[in-house]
Amino acid sequence: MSILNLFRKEKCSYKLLAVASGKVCPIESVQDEVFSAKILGDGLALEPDNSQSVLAPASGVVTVADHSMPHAVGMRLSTGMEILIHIGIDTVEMDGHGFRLLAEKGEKVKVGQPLIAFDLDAIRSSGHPGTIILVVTEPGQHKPLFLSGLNAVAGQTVIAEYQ
Amino acid sequence: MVKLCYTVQDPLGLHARPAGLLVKLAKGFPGTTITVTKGEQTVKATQLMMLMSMCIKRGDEIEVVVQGQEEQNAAGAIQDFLHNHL
Repeated sequence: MSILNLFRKEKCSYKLLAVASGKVCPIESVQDEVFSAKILGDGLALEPDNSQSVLAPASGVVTVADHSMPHAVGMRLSTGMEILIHIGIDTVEMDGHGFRLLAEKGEKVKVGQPLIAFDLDAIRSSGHPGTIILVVTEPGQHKPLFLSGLNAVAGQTVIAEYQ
Repeated sequence: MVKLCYTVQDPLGLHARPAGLLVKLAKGFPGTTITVTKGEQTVKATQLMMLMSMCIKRGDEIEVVVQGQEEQNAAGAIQDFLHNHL
């Protein structure tokens, strides 16, 4: 390990890991203004390859998990940061078909734990982009640095860092 | 103080998009407190995750209370929001 890596580790003590495998893109590129204009908060987009579930990017508690809207899940991370993970664009119109919640509201989840199972083919065949969006809705005291442009591996690649 | 009662008409309810728009609207009136009540749960309209976790659906009755410096303007904006997005 180089000195640079040691330094990085000290500087950015917290990480968010990729919620699925695929290409990480800037949130500004999302085809939905509520996300791209950061109305919900800053974050990242991920174009999933063959992923079938989204994983918790860090440990925390599930704060939003509604079985009538299983395409989105909210978490309060153990650092106090609040995040929303939203699968697909306008997928609320799918009325839950193609999605299954794997965690309940109030449940404590560990980093890498599956939160939602989804069927990418069902999303695409209903005419919706499958883009997964991760939004930091409440950064708390933190200022996350989002790392886009990567080809992320679910549960392994760091997609954001913060102190 | 202005109190608005509204029965949700939108089949999709208060999902991410309208919740985000409501937060944006509420943050535009920093001197005014806007709360949303469904049943026994009351949250500030600036708290996105709290709003979403209330699971507001079509047919639900919600109450919006607006209080503060710009309450008339804010209440007008909330009224428009409810009719256009919810």
